[in-house]
Amino acid sequence: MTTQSLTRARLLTLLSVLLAASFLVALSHGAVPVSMHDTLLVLLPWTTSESAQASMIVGELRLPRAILAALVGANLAVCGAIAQGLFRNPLADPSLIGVSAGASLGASLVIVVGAGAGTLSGITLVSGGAFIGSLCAVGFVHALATRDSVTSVATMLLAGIAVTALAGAISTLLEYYSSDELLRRISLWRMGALDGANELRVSIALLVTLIVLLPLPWFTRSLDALLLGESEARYLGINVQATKTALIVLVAIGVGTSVALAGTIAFVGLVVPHIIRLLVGPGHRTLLPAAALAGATLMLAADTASRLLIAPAELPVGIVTALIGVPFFVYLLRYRSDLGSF
Amino acid sequence: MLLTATHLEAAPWGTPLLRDVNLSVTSGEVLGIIGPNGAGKSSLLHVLAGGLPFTAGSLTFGDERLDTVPNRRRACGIALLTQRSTLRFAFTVREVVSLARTPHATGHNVDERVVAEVMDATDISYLADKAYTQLSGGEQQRVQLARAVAQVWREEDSRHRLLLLDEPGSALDLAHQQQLKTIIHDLAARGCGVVVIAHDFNFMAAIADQVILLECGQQQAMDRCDTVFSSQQFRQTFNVEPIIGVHPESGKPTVLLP
Repeated sequence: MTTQSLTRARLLTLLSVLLAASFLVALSHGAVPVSMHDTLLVLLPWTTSESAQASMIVGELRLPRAILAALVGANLAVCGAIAQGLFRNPLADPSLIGVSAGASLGASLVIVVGAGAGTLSGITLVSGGAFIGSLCAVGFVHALATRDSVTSVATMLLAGIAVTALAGAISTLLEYYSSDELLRRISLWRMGALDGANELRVSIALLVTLIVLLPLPWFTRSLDALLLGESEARYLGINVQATKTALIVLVAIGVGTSVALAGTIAFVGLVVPHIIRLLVGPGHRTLLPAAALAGATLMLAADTASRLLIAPAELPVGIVTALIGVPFFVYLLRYRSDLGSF
Repeated sequence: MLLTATHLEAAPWGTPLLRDVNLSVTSGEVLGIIGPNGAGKSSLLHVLAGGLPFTAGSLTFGDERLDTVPNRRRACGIALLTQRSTLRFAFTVREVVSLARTPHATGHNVDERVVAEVMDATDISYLADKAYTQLSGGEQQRVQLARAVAQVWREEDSRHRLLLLDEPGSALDLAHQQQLKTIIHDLAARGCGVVVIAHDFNFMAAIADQVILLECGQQQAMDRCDTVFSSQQFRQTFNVEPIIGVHPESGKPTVLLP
């Protein structure tokens, strides 16, 4: 047990250092390079940088964006880990229960009815539509899979496929009747982007991340027990239905907010928990905090890459995470048959 | 009395699965359940574990109605080893056994000692750091048995604890079937009540103080093995006519198939 705790402490320390490093790299790199020295001067509260340009670029442009990227990444990775535990399937992903499709539909709807440019105290209505769309989709999937106040996770996966298809069909219908201009905006939104980061968005992301992360220490043992099977977990004294509902709500809020603020970002929720499991095993006491740190790091790195690859222009960050994630996913499918078998 | 069921009926999906089951288990007693496939044996075990609601009759654990005992407290007193377990995540064997301590508030040190003791008693210590997913079917069954045992294990004794086992020996080799008998005997000696489902009548005769014969959800008999195990009864229930003998050493009944 001591060696295991050591590994846990070491891993979390290592990931924290990596996160801090990727944070500094994200702040100092971009279309306009800022020296690490200037970056630190802007960051540390008791110093100020002499360069007004550095203060502006680092403090006002890159800092909110980097924090948003880290929060979104942490959220997606933790929600992916929860979903995989809940569905007892290492290849599960929150998008399976309709979150992303619902968000897409909500966002498309807002764009098509012409309110795409509208904002409500700094939050675009598109984000609001995406958030509501994702919650509606998950709520619908959950209701479909619940009978006699018992939720079947197997039915949830199938209902998720159905709701994803339905939302996809309606989205396509909307696109079919949209003008070229609207079509472009819909598809740009779907690619995912972090360039809209501002203080309000960062605050919302921070609040939601805290809401998702803070209760998790109480769920680690339940999630471990759930991996054995629902009836086994019940015989271990877990209140299975309450646990499932609470975790589904957390995932819906976490992923719904991430999608609303940054668009659909692929594979972070799938790939990050996998890497952590390969390193320290499936126990959630280590998996959840480690996934949060690693998700934040990966997302920061992907966003930095998206800003650097074709600088001064930017790639949508969702493309970068997919380009990293898909090969890894294929590798898991092909070469680790023990993970995906039903 | 550790567990008492009177006139127990269950119809979880509308169809009646159990009708008028009466049984009791005392501390240190081993009760066997036998019967044809689909007789309702596993359902009875799930009802006794509190995981499947009963529709009529009464079920008490200690001096409390079982359906009013909160989940977690019930899990401290009753463990159930189910027939199949599908764990697809690569926990180590020690981690799987440690999950048994989930309901207990005995603290990390006690939990660790109990897990070590039980892994020794069930002869899986040498597998402790292996990934569960890479074990053979028989090894996995032994790990799950250890998990169930660790859930009802107390360091001093195991009185007021109930262990329910659904075909615990189905995948075990001869040596480990023998060892399973020893484990059940030892637990009973520590005061734990044990209810076991098995299709191997010789195994049952060796461990059970009493057996229940279940057919179509109805209790046909509950008595000592040497009374229940009769050619006539087996012809009626299983449509086979075995030779019932007496084990030359233990004096327990033996069942030989033609």
